[in-house]
Amino acid sequence: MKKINEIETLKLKLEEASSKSNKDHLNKKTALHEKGSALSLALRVGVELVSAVAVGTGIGLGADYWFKTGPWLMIIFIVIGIVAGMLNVYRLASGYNYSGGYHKNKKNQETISFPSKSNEGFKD
Amino acid sequence: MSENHSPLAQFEIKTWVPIRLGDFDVSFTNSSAAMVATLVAISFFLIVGMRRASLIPGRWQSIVELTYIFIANLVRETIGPDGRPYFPFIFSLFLFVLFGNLFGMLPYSFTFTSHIIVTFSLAMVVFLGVTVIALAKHKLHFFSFFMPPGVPLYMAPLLIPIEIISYLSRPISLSVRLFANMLAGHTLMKVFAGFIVSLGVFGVAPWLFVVALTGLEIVIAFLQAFVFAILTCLYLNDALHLH
Repeated sequence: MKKINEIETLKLKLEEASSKSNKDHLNKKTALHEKGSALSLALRVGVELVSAVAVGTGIGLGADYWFKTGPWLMIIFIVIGIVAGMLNVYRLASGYNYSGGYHKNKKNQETISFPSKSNEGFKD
Repeated sequence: MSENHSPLAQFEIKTWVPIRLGDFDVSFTNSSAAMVATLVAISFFLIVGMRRASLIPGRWQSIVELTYIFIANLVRETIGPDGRPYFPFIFSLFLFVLFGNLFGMLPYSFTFTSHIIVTFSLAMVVFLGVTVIALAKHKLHFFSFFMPPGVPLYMAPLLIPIEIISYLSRPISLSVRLFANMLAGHTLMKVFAGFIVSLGVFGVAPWLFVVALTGLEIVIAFLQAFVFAILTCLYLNDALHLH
């Protein structure tokens, strides 16, 4: 009987220690992660802005060649490319990352709608 | 050696074994040799490190396990449990880019990641793969990706081209980032190394600079491999969980 008790207490101790080390590990991890991503963020911004303009110009030139419409499509697509590049940088900087949609908005909506839903359930 | 003082000479592709397949030149070059060496080094690193897998890991086994855990955590944090099937791909991609970058730091070696065609091919594999995964998972609903919810319909003609260009710019930004970093870093190192001899006694200054730059280049080698892996994760996350 005594042995089982000892094993139980040992189990509890082990669990406590492992959860503590897990927490420490997680805290350290996030700190490192943030540092690394701050530097990588800085490296990403410039290329992000330029590449969209390059894609826009490429599409414009291709379309002009295809439809034989002078420089007009290229000019339009360069402007769209510049806008897309700025959108890319905005998303990068504001934490939307590359999502085509707006992840953050959706999450906010969910958190807002959650309590009202539970209230409805309560009334029923 | 005397004719090769140009800082760009290090990026030259040299054919070692000429091979022709129809109209295509598929020769074995110094770039291919560097890639083979990278693959051999990765296999050696992983297989020999885990050969005697013990419960209490030695130094080498620890490094292998830490690399594994690092990428596993990255996948878990950015994609979640859905990303588990794609872990092997991201792990191999990360190791390939990392070892390629680090191999380029050895004197007289060749940096294959400093060639846009190599990084662009890697980025296109990621881009096409992600698009196919998204199409297979969400079918035609995938195209709602280009039309964020809650946008008035009259904005669509303006917004959809912008979103499509933003989407198409992904492989370009992914490949140019890695390529430009490696090319610029290695060129800069060679330029400053050239100053050491020509400045005589005062060559100590550029020499110190090159020493510092070597450290920076190794950091960049790790960082760019990490960025490549994390962006692949983010793209996969977008494909698996459309807004």
